[in-house]
Amino acid sequence: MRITFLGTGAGNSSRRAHSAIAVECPDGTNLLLDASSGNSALRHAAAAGIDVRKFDNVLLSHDHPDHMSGIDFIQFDRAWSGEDRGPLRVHASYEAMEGLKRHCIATRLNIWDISGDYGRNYEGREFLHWNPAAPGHVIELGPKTTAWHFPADHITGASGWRVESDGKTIVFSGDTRYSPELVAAAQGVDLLIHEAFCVADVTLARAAGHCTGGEAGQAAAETSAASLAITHLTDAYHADSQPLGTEAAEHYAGPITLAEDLLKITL
Amino acid sequence: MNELEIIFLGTGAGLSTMRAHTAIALRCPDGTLLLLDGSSGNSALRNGEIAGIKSYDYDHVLLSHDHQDHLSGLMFVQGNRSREIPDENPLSIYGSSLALNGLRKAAVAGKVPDIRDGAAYNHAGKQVMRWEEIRPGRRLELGPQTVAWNFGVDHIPGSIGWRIETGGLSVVFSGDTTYSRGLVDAAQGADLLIHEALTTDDEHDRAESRLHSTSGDAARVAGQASVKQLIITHIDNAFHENQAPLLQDAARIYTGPINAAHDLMQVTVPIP
Repeated sequence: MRITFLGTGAGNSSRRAHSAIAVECPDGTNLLLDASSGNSALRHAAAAGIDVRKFDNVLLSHDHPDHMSGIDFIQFDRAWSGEDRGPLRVHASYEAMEGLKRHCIATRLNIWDISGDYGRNYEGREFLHWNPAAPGHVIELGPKTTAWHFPADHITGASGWRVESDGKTIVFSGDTRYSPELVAAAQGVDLLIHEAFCVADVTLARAAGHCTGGEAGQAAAETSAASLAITHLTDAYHADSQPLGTEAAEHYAGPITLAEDLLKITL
Repeated sequence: MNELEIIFLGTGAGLSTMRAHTAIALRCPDGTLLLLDGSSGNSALRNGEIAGIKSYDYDHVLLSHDHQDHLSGLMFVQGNRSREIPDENPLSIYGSSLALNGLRKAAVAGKVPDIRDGAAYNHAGKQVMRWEEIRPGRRLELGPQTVAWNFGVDHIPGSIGWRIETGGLSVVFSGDTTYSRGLVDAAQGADLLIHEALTTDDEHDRAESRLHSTSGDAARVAGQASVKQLIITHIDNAFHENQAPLLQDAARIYTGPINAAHDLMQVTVPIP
């Protein structure tokens, strides 16, 4: 399983692309965890040698624009590719899916009709397939790849995702405060990808709907994750993210990776 | 300062997967800093940061039209600006009524908490963006020695180009458009014309069907308006690596200096 970080910046980052992670599974299933904003996921995928047009599934953590508005350009690129790969399948909680639909009809980038199960262009052609799911509902994404989401503690409808493929398991926190639901869902994972907003000031992090590096480490320890990657970095930690890792290591003894744009992890 | 500085923050066409979408910073001789279009995502912010421009440095934003690759990045410029300077410091945006309507709809869907009377407010009730519809031909005072006005171009409804005059210099930005007579009139004698081009003249029909220009069209406008310099932007993936076909196509028609923009390219125009 190959994981490529296409965007690792927090919502106000002026240094990094917004959140998006490409996951290439051993059974040939390709999926995106979040979609970044603008054409950032497309540009970083091109730079990493990844063809996003071969990614048939996007798993959304929540409907903040820095995590989902890049879907506009991902489906637009796919629409103009000249190949018919079918509509891009989007998976999210019911609440986040409604937010995405509102976004698509407001921006009208190729999508003019959001009724029913599909986002369609002005000719009625289907380019996005809405797949809202309840927490815990197992989605078959490929012959040996499944995913399900669990509630995160951020905004209404925010989720984290657990992806399992051919014996390997990753969990992506999305944006969240320290979350017992995440700890329950991430038991024994090979890789926990967790956000962190700052160090030391738990109150500040909680007020922003996020967590500290220490809390990310605590979650990794409580789940017995085999490894931890920290992402969603603000500008304050762009040049030197080590304080987040150092604080996480006070709680978690396993290997810690501090993500940056275009970083690859192979499991 | 005795020069005008142009910093290309984004030079990619809507379908570009290699470049940031359209945004151009103009540092005027009187110190006024303008942003022409807002790119998408946080691309204008990221390339601005590399070029030494902060979100809170911009005095005004001039929008060309209601397409997401030209305006959706403004929300992130505003978000960063409000975080860096929590005092009331709204981003000032000018555009056509249709472009501002698109911006407003995207802001609502983007969870901006309060939008009314030509402005957006954050959770603390502070004004973070304000916008004003500017009709073609109306002169806008943007700085002590900087004025701008816009003119209709031929793309989607509500599409405009901008002419900026500052310290005795004039820059014209086409926005997105097919070959436009109105642009030829508005660009007369400009020191610099920044014009879009999707492809070369041999694919004129394809460019026109997508409501865009060819490099030949850009050169025709430059020649007919007798501008002193032409820069081609809004570059598609096909010309990302090699812009020579665009430049050669334009050079058949326009004999002045021609350049093709790339992300983070900086151009200075000295005051004569």
